This record gives sequence, C-alpha cells and structure tokens, in this order.
Amino acid sequence: MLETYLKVALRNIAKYKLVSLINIVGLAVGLAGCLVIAIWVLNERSYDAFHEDADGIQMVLAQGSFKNNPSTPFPLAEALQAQVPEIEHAGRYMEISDALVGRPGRSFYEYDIYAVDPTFFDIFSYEFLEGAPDTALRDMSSVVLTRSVAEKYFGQDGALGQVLTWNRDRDFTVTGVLADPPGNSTLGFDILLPFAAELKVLEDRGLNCGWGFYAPNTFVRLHAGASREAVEAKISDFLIRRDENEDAHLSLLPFCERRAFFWNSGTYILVFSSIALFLLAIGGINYVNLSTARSAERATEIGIRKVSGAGRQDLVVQLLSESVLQASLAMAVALALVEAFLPLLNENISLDLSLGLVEPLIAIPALLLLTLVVGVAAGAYPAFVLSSLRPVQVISRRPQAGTGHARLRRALVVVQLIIAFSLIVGTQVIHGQMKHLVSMDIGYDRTDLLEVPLRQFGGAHYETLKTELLRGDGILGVSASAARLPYFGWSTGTANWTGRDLEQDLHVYINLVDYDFVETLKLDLVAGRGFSREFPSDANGGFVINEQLARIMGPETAPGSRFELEGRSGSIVGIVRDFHFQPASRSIGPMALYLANDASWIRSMLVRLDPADRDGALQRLAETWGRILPDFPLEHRFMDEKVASVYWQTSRLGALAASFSVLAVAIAGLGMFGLASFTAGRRTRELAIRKVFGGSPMDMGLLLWTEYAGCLVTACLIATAPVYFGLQSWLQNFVYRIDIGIGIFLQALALVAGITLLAVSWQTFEAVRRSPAAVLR
Amino acid sequence: MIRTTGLRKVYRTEEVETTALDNINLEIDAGEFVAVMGPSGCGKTTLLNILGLLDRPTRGSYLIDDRETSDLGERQLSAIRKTNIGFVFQSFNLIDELTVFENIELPLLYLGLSRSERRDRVMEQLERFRIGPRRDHFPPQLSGGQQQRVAVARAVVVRPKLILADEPTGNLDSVHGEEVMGMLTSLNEEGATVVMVTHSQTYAECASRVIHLFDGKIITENLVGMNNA
Repeated sequence: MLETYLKVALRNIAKYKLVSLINIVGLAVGLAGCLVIAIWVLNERSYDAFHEDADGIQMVLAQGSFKNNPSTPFPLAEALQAQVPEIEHAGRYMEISDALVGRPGRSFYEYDIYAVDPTFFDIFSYEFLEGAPDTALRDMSSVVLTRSVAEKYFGQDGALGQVLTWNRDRDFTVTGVLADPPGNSTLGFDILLPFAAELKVLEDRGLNCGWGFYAPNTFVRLHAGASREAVEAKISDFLIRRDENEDAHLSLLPFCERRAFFWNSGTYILVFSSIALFLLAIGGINYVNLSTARSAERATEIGIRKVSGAGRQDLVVQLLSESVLQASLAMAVALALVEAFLPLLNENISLDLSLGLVEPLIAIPALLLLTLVVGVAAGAYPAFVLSSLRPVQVISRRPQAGTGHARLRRALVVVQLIIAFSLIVGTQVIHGQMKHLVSMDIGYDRTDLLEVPLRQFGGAHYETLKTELLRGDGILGVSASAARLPYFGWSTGTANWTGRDLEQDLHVYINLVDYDFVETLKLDLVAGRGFSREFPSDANGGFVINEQLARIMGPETAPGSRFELEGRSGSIVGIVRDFHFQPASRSIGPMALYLANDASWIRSMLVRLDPADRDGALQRLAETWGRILPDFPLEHRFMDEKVASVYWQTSRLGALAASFSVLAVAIAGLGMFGLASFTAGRRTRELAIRKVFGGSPMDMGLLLWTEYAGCLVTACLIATAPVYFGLQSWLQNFVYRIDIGIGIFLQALALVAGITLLAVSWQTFEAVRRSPAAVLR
Repeated sequence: MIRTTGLRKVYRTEEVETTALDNINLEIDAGEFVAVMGPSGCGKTTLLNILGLLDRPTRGSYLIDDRETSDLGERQLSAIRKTNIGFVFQSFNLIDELTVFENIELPLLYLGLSRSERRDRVMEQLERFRIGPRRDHFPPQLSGGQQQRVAVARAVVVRPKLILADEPTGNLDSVHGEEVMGMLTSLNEEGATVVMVTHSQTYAECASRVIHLFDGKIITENLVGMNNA
C-alpha cells in the first residue's frame, strides 16, 4: 500500500511542479536553518568535553567588585590544593605578551602564549607527541609547543631538545610537543611556558604578585566523587578568611560551561534559532496553504478513493506519506544546502562547523525523526481537510464548504507576513546598531592613525624611532602608550583629590603615555593642554583626565587642581572630551593619563600620517624601523581597522541575520505566489464575466490584491508594537544606541508589500490576460 | 436485496430547504436490472448515492440484504461499500495520476488482498474489457469509451453484488454507449444486481424494470415490455 502511496505522491510532485517546488524549497530552507543551528548548538555544547572526566574540572571565579572575575590571586592555586582535600590538582593559566619567537633563520610573532603550572597536564588531557607531562614544564627555560607550531619552526625533524629564542634575548628548550588541541577548546594556546618563569619576570619588574594582584586563571580538578557544590561552599570565603580587607568570594564554574559563560554565544544561538524556526514555520505554512488550496483539485481523487472503499484513516496515511515524502526531499535539499553554505557561516562566526560533527549513529535517526515530524506537522491539517471531504459532494460536483479553510489560509498568510515583517525590522535594527558601534564617533580621529606594537623589545628604541620618524615628511605626529589602543582596561582605586569622598568606591582607568599623546590622537581638549616637555613637572606629577572624571571630582575641577594616583602626586594639566577607550557597549568611565617615565612601560607606538602622503610615510616608517630594529619584523595596523575588527564578527552576524530575513520574506513571497495562482485560477470565470461587463485590468488587479493587502495591513498592525518594544528593550543593553524611527518600519512594510505585490501580480496578470471567450465557452 | 421504506432526503442551506427525495419505498431483488429515469433535478442521483451508501437519508429506512444501514457508522458503511457495491459514473471519475492497471486495482488495495491476487484479478478485468494493451496508460491518454471501460472494470473487480451506474453513457457516443450497456447487461446476466440512472429511453429498455422519478417521488414503475406495474 505504502508503495502505491509513494508512487502517487511522486506523480503528484511531478504534476504540480510549481507547488511542489515551493513546498520543498520552503521546507528545505527552514530545515537547513534548523540543521545548522543544531550543529552549532552541539558544537557549543561539545566545548572542552574532550578532557578526561571533564565534569571534574572547575574554574575558580572571584566575586568581588567585579562579578565573575576569571582573574584570581597568584598564590590561590597552591593554597587551594594544600588546604582543600577534595581538590586533587590546582593550577594557573595566564596569557602572556606577544613575542618574537625564533631560531636562526626562522622567526615569527606568536600571539597565543600562555604560562601554566606543571599541574596543567594533571588537570587537562593533552596528548604528548614528544616529551612527557611529568617533566615538560619542570625547568624554568622549558617550552611546550603544539604540533603545528613545532612544525612551523622545525618541520618534521622533531622539536624535542631544540632551542627557541624569545625576543632575541631569552632561550627556551622544547621539552614537549602536544597534538593540536581540537577546535572546540576554550584554551586556545599555541605555546606553553612554565608559570614560574613568567612569575619571575613579573617580580623582577617589581610587581608584587601576592594575594592582592588578580591576574591568572585558576583551575582545579576535584577528586572523583567530590561534589562541586560542597567544595564551592567550602571555598566561598577562602579569601576573606585569609585577609579581613579582602571582600571577594570564590565560586566554581564547571569547566565545560566556560564557553557558554564567557563567549555569550547563547545570544547568537537564540537569534539564529528563532530565525531558523521562523523559516521552517513559513515553509510549513506554505505547505498547509497550498495543500488546502489544492483540495478542490484533489477532491475527485479523494472521493473516488472513498467510493472505492478507502477509510478516512487510509486517506490520512496516504496524505501524510505525501507530506513526509516532500519533507524527505526537502531534507535532502537541506543537507545539500548545509554542505554548501556551512563554509560561509563558518567564515562569519569563526567556527569550524561541519555535518561530520555529529555521530552518524545519532545523526541518521535524528534526521529521520525530524523529517517525520516536519512532514507530519506540515501535512496534518491538509490531511485532515482532504480526508474529511464527503464523496457524495465530490461525485455530484457539489461545491464543498470551503470558507473556513479560506479564512484559515488568510490567517496563515497573516502569520507569515508578521514573521517576515518582524524579521526584517528586527534584523535591520540589529544590523543598524552593529554598524553604529563600528562607525560612531569614538572621540578622536582614527583615520590615518597607525598603531605599531613595540612589545617587550621596542620600548627602549622608542625615542630614537620617534625622533627619526618626525624628521621626515608625511608623519605628522608620534606618541606612545603602555596599552595597545583602541582599548585599555587597567584601573586603580588609588585616585585622590582634595575633598574626595573616601567612602565612595571609585576605580579610575589609567594609561601611561608619552608626550604628544593628546595631539597625535587629536583628542579634543576641553581645558588646559596636553603633556609638554616645556613643563618639567609634567613628567612626575602631570595628569590629563577625561570629562567624566572631572565631573566626578566636582565643578571646581580645572587645570591646576591637585590630584594623586598610584602614588604620584601632582596636578591636572588638561581635561579632554570623553573618548571611547573601551568597547562602545560600555559607558565611558573616569580616566586619567600620565607620562610613562620608564621606557619598559611603552608597548605601543602611535603614528599620525599625513593623508596626502600616506604611502610615502608608510615606506619611511618601514625604512626607519628596519634601520633601528633590524631583527624585529615591523607590524602595524590602522586604528579604524582595529576598531572595525572588534565588531567584525558581530557585524557579519548582523548582516547574516539580515540576509536570512530577506530569505524568509522570499519564501513567504513564493508561498503567496503559489496561493495567488490558485485564487486567480479559481476566480478565472468571475474575472471573465467582469471583463465582459466592462471591468478594466486595473479593477480586476485591485480585486485580487485587496485580499493580500488586507493581510499585509493586518500583519503590520499586529507586529509593529511588540516588535518595537522588543527591540527597544534589546537596545537598552547598549549605552550608545540607535533610535528606532518610523522609517525602518516603513522600509520593511515597503519590502514586504513589494514582494507580496510581485507574487500576486504575476498571477493576476495571467488571469486578467485570458480571453473571456475562451473561459466562458 | 434492497428495501427502502419512507426514504426522504432534504438539503438545507441557511435560507432554503430542498426536498430531493420524498417517501421513496422501493424493493429491488437480487439479480434485477433497474433503470431510474426522470428529468434533471428529480432526485435520481441522490437516490443512487443513498443506495450506494455515499449519502444518508434524512429519514426512513434502507436495508441491504436485510441489514438496516441508516444507523451504521462511517466505517461500517465503508466496509459494506467496498465488498458489495461497485460504482460507474457518467464522468468516469478515474484518478488521472494512476495508470489503467492501478485505477482498476484501487478497490482491491482497500480490501487488503495480496499483490499476486490483485494482479490476477486486474488482469482478468483487463482481458475481459479488452484494455490490456492500455494497462500502463494514464486516463487522459484514453478515449471516453476506453475510460468508461476502465471505470466499469474498476467497479466489478471486487465482484460486487450491486452495481450502481449514474448515467454511464452520458458522456459517450452511441457506439461506446452501446458497448457499455452491453457490459452492464452481461454483468447482470452473470448475477449482479444493477441500478442505473439514465436519461435514455433506449438504454433503459436494457433493464428489467424502469422507475420514473419526479420532484423526488416515484411516479411510475414499469416492468420493461409492460405498462404500469
């Protein structure tokens, strides 16, 4: 029997090509969206699960004035391991500065270098291709590489025992080579150094790496059977018990949840899951609408089957097998679409998703089940409608009562239009907000401003570089900074001034800079001046602050006001208009700049180019750098590109969402096109009679469009308010946000109306064009 | 075989009530060939639909083989229909998406017969009605006469006791019309009871009895060759 059903279903698909195409394409696009989201979610959930007994690994978070702070005190790991019996291993993990790493003839800047304790390999599971976990990081000058990094420097020759030089002055011996960690790992290192070695570097620079300095991440592995909650309760006040001045609690984050916790991928997944489900809903609605609209055409077949002895159940099974078949074809198309478009998505979300991520033993039954569910869901109502046709009405050609179905079809079209309209408005606003973050005024001129990283090696040569660069044409200004702009995040609670309310908790963001910083960035001075060599006191006690700090300090604040910070006592020399030194999702906080007296603080050079001689200036920079730092390759980047790159992924995702919404509208449009063809077909006779009695094509066009125009207006009326308030609430997450004007709604309305008109007009044109003589014969 | 008592069928819309059949008392014995005649709209097709269990009377009793059908559920009616009744329509009502073979096979599918038995029975009908060479054609590829032959083959493939034919020659020319009448006559001679609605006096004469309907009532019943039974 099933074979017969499938045969008829295939013949129906071939006979009603347009309808089948619309159904299959609509469902396929929705299914493809769902598949991608499913793979994405599975991929997100798989993060860090490859470690043995991954559930036993926990990350320690500090809950103080900063919530969920992953940075913890340096001595914490050792103390936890010693004092909490449930903790089997504890270890630290800290990102350290980029470095020029090399061996004779082969040098590269490395960006993902981490310092870890030897217990790192007891906590996490990494496969050693060379060396052994017990010995790998025991020595202060040892280094562990991933395989790809090892091959980059040493090819296939084996890296163990080889020496790599750091910034041309420190040697490390390779004591281990690890298999490349899988892509779904949140610990993204290329090179591991002994934590003790990095600690020594910091301490040699005079930093007190004690309990008050929060920097490394701390990870622990619990003994088998130990309860995370119990350990968390036990260590919650660990820091407070140690030191009465310390008010940070500790909490534990299961390591496997680290990805979801810090990367906020949930928001994107939510947005794209909604879009995928909406796409599927639009495809499903097309199926329901086109199938019920076609019920008149299939009525004869259904009637004959009933007359021939088919029960309602037989017909339901037959009709559902047709919808499941279409869903199966849609699934095949969807798999092809996923295969074709995953690379594009991967590029946009910087992931490596593939169909292969899912175990075939799980994937195949899951796909079959999804196909069945979608097929049955799409086919249930049409099957109910068609199987309820009474044979006597069919056989005697009496019209079926169809008003209810027509009303339902209109309601479903309204639902489609609501989805399409909301998606367009929603994604336009998201896209607009992301564009706004990239293009908004950040408070200084970022075009033709170059950032040149000096890293640990360049600070000492900065003054020479600056002098040489300013000597030639094309370079309008040179300055430097300890933080690598556009962002800096160091803050201190040590700010003080006359009349400060000491009860008030205040963290001031700081950056150590060179002379000419204000001028090179073209920061707007509200009062006073930038740092100047003409005022020797600037070097030891001058501060340039922003308006926000000035506001906090009070209305009396002006150049000359006394100010203290980080043990420096001096006065304010200038106040600059607030500029963005943190991502635009955060509000501008109080900030102070002061001069870096020690060249070792200088990590970044800022160069203002003459736009008229940009190429010449870049060439001059390269020549000068090559002369002064011949052993270190020059790297530089324009500030506007750096700002854009921060939002690159977000803007691409916004654009991607916007494209999906256009796709949704297109599929809804296809559905309306199909539906309009039935409406026009059904009304051919009516139109012919109207034409005979003088109806113009325009009158008849309007007649057919009115139905859809009503749906469109209804949809927009229903959708506008919820969409507006929903988006307003989303925009509240941003300090600097766009306004949702009426224009965005009108644009969406115009787009949806345009597509509706296009979909309906063709069919109307066809219907109106037919000769009444042929129709009424 | 068939007995109706006080059969009445009323169609109602919101504003209009139309009586299609009124107090129909009818007995048809097994093996009879009955023709139903009357002007358009007199209730012929309604009567046939009720006899075929496709429609229910508004009032009255309808017995097939002494079994009352008016209180049966849809499933039971369907069961009686698929084993006992074959239908032939004026407009053939073949399924365009099925081949000749598959159209004839259709009622057998719902009887749950095995594939080989279905094939044997369909082959038997294809041969009997001389449509074997067309077995893989689709209805739109056939002439009207051929289509009606397929429709008759489909009606008799389950070997029904009762064949209901609603103007089976209405869409055919005289040559093909006579051919179809020949088929119905021979089926009747083989033992099937035939009830046929027709406008044609000539074809009605093939029947053993002619019933005349007017405004939903039986006005005359004639045995063929006699007046006023």
